[in-house]
Amino acid sequence: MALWPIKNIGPMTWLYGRCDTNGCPATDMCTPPLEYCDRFTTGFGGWRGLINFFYYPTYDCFFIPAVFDCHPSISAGGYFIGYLVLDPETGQRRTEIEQSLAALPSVISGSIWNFLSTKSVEAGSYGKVFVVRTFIFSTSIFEVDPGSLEAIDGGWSIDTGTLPNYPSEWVVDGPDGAIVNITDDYLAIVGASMVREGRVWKNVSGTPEYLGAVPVPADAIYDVAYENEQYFWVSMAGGYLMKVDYKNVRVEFFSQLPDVDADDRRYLIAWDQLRGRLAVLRQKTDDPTTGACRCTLEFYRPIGKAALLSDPVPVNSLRAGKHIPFIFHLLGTAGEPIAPYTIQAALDTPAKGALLSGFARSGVGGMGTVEYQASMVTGQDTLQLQATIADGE
Amino acid sequence: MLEQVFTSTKLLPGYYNTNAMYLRFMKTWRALYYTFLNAAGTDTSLYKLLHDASTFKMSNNVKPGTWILGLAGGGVGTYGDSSPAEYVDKVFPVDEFTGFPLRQKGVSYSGTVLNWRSLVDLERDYAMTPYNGNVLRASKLSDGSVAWDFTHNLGGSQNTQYVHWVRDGQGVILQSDTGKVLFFNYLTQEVLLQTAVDPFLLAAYDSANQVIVTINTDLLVRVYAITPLPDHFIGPTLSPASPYQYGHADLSVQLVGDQGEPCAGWWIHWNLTNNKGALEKIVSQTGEDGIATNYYFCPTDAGDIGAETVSVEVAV
Repeated sequence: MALWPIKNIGPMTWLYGRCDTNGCPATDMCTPPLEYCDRFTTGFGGWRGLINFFYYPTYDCFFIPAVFDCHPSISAGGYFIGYLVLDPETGQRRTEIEQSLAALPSVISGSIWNFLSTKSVEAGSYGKVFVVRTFIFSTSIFEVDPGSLEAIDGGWSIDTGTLPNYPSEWVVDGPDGAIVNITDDYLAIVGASMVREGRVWKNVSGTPEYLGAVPVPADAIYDVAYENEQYFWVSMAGGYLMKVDYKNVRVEFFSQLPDVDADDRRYLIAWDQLRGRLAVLRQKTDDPTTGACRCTLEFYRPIGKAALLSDPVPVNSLRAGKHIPFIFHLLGTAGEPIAPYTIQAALDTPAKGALLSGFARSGVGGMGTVEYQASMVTGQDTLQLQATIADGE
Repeated sequence: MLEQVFTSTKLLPGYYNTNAMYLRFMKTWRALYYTFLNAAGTDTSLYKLLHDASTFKMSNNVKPGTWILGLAGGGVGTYGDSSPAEYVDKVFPVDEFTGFPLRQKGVSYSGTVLNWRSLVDLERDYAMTPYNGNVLRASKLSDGSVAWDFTHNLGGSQNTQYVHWVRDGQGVILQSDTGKVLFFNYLTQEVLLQTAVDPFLLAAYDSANQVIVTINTDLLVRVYAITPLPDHFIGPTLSPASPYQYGHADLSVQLVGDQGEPCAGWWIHWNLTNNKGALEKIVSQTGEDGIATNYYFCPTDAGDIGAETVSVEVAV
């Protein structure tokens, strides 16, 4: 594993229920409200289905605006929109909030096009929520009511066309996510299409100034998450995660989710601002036999966990009497350095040479050095390295 | 020939393809930056490669049109990115975490002054590129003009040579088909050391640990310490060449590798074949120039006057 796991909730069978036996009336799609039918759409072009996930501090909950398939007995090919609201501790649905938003099960107060054209919805500073819409709807990024995804009158907004160094590729395809920091007047936009970058602007309420870009090393970007007035996270294909210091325009951390497999469809992320941890909603394909939901909600500390201690490699002449450093690396699954970390070193007995220390420490790049003093006579020694990684450390 | 100190037991992922493989040491990773093209020719994957051949896939797809080169300081750069158009003809250092180009830090270059074999010193505005088998050409990135030519006479084709960074002002040329290695000072254009490793497919200089790392067609990783293996002696020589009775003379011998490179730090064992006269020492150590010295005392007994042979040995 590359990130330190805190807990894993799932499979989240409560995310949606099968209403084959409930007999939903066709007229209003699904009633009663919380016994609605069927599952997230499998989507086409990534527009539909479970595509957004954010933490909303006002309610201290995770919000999942989603598009659902109607049960075929009700409306073949039909779909409806709504919210799932999840408790950040248990991952269970907070139905009272869902109901208060009038979000489920039928069409909510917002336009369905708001949902269908929303490429990203994220909480930003001040607990406000912002969306990025596709070019069909708008090229702007603006503040919305989290309950309807409707633009708030007089709310913050920006026409991305006014931003210097805004890639033309994003005008056509739309970026994949945006982070708005009203407090310090920063805007970060992330897009995979051709450009594969996260770009940052400041003074966006006045004369926007382009600060620079960080690379996004993946073909597909699944989600972004606002952490605070300094950092945001990006989730990518392959389960890669990246933490970006957008004020200094640099990647702060690069890692990978554990247990990535072919049944994973997306990794949606949200930063739990109250508890200071990263939540990952792993959207998986349904169980092929039972059709049951296999999505999981996972929580991680934003630090790397060691996955590999490499074999020691000598970097000096292997000669009798020589002082020979052996290098090693301690890394996470995405190759992220795990440092500083203490490594135990020992020679198999009987040993001809000697180690200068029974301990070594990983440093820059996760690399460390074990110092070995060869004996004055020809011989052979075996060096053993060990890193003890304790759960919950 | 440098001493090989490690051969991996693991195989690298990928397959043998000389046209789409790159190997550079990335100092911030303390590891190697390795890419190769998949069998379908559609996907150039980027790996972080450790010295023991452990790999981490950093990305499925290095951005198309991106080529890799070395940067002074121990970084990796890319160039020739074709999209977005505003970034064409620039050299970009790569991000220390992701290995992807930091394109806001792009530096424009003029003309065809670099390729994937080059070492670029952005601070000094140099692109150092094999010009032909015997000449390394440094061009100014800014205007494409020739800054200097360094004639090294390694021979062969420029398409077998890669230039890597060693330390400030120093580089190394690694030649794949012969395994020749030439350390040089690119501020003064002087040769520092010429030596060799086994022929390779790709090679990089690890500037943090001062070793050369190679990959051959067997997809194993090999590590070479910068300690030339002895091949032969030059000498010993006696000065004066014919000392007189009661006299004395300086003895010296140079220990060199197969490329004539000096072998430092080796213990030389001295012997007199006929036991005429005496040696000051029976062992002495070679210095940085590969030379070990001794002192010969001529015989004092007239009966011992005659020819004497000094022999030297080294345990390799």
